[in-house]
Amino acid sequence: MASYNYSYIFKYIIIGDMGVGKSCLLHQFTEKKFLPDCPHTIGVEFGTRIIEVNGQKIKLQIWDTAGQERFRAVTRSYYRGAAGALMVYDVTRRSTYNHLSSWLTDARNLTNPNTTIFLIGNKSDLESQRDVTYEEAKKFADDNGLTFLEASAKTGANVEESFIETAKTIFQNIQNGSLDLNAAESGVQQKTQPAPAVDLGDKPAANSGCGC
Amino acid sequence: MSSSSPRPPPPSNGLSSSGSTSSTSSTASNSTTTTTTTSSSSTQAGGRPVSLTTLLGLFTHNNNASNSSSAQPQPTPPHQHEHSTSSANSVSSGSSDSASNGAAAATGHGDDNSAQGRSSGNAILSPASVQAKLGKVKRAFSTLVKRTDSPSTSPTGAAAAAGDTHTTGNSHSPVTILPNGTQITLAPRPGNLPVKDKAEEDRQRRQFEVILDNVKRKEDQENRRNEKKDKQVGDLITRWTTEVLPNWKHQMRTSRKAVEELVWHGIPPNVRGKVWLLAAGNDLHITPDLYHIFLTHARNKLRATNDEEGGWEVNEDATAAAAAATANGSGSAILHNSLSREQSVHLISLDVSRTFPHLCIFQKGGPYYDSLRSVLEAYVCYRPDVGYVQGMSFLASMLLLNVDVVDAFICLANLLNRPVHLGFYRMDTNVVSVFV
Repeated sequence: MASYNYSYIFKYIIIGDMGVGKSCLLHQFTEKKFLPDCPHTIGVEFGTRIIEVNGQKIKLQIWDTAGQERFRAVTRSYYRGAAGALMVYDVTRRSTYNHLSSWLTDARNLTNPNTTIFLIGNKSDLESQRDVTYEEAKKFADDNGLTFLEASAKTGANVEESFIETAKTIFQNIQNGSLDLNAAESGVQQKTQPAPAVDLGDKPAANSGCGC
Repeated sequence: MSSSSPRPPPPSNGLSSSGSTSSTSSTASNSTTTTTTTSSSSTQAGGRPVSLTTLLGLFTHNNNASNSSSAQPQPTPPHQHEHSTSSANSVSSGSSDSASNGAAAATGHGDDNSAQGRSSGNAILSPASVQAKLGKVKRAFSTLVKRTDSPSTSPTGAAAAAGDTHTTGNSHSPVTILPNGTQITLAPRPGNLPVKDKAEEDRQRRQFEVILDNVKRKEDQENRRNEKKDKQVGDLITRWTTEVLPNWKHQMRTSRKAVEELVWHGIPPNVRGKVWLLAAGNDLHITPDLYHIFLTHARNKLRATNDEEGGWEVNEDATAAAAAATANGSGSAILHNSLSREQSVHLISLDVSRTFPHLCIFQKGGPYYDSLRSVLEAYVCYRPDVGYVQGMSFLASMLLLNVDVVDAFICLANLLNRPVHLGFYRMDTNVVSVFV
């Protein structure tokens, strides 16, 4: 299939408290389907999808982590080398929002400084049960320099956008040179096959990929 | 029962009255057909008749897929050469009129057919005009193959076909449903079309017979395979119940290898629970009372924290703090940790309905929701130093599928008491590092 041709691989991780819908978001993004009772994740799970950003085919390699506190020791080892981190909370449960700062600390400490962190308020379809306002979360995101969207894995609203916006940001970072592809843990791999229209400005060594 | 379901009365020839055994001539003919077929079916009485298995098997097999279609009366009487089988069916179901023997669906189906078989038998003896018409129709058979993959469309399709046969009068068109869901009907050509010539009709009938033969052969093969499998399972069960289970301890001491070998063949479902319980043992000497005590304790805990608004959010934070403390290797955190891990009892409700969701039994309102929740909650209070860890629910649910609630708790507690499980579930870095 033609879609197997891609120029980059971006590594993503999805983090957040248990039951906020991390796996559901991933499933919605990769399968375009909603799983009402998504089995809970033990350790990590994995999903991929190829998207197109600025005419470039990009393969997203998404690591979906277990949310329970006890698994943090395990999931922390997956932060390394992620180009994007999707931090998810549940708009109907304030406790999941309250824990964001601890997730953010982990994400900042364990990824490289150029990792794009995206905040997602999931379950936006459950308006009547809302516990966290959009404004409040937006302020949190702005204060911490995060991009923020409220999404719904159930209806699919903003799911696609969240993943693709993150990819766009990463791609921009590559193009303006702030994300060094040669860095060991950039989270981006470039396919060595010549991609016809790679416009990477004047970065000469951009195609050697990362060492891992 | 489908036998009592309203069968659309065949039109025009007054079959509804002659269908009852009041008309002498028709009963006479009926009895002759039945006697010829009883001889073949009586030898098979008791168990599943061999020659019928194919047909019955077909119907029972299809019972789930096209339940609606089989429940719907099939006003498509059997074709002549199928007549013997169908009326054999009618004998077996006719003897117990309510059609409440073993294969209810099969007999129900057969009953519909047989009813039609009888009525068509009657039709032959009906007034001459009808007979003439019937003769004409009988010459115009056509094979009709219909897919019934989607049960929603099949009943309408069947009904449409049925409607066809109705308008043309009473003709023979057995509906045979293949195991793959394909429905084969040898149906007559509609009356408004020219009559089919004899050669074509014969050819199509032969084709139909070939198809049926193939199906029967396949069915026989399948049956033989199943019988063999059943026998193997039967042997396994006998070995488990007579040799291993009665003297488990002795067996495990003297012939552990043999038991392990037996396990590798797959433990038959009906002894699985017993084997698991024995294999897991009860070194912890947990009693049903203990389970109930911990369950009550857990319920009280949940109620207490539910009463104070937002109480467990704080506790969750405490869990995080404790985990961080242990990660730093702080010894004083252990007590705090064990206390706060008990708070993970609140997390259980998030995961119960997400356990094997495709089975649809652990969801809220499902039959196993409460028991799974109870087992996990009791365990958290039984081992507050371990608490609830995501993944436990899969283990507990698997146990619940095979043993009752108390036994599942006993089994879970003993299983998780093994050093490896305990190490991993407590994220005991010393233990984990040995294995990773």
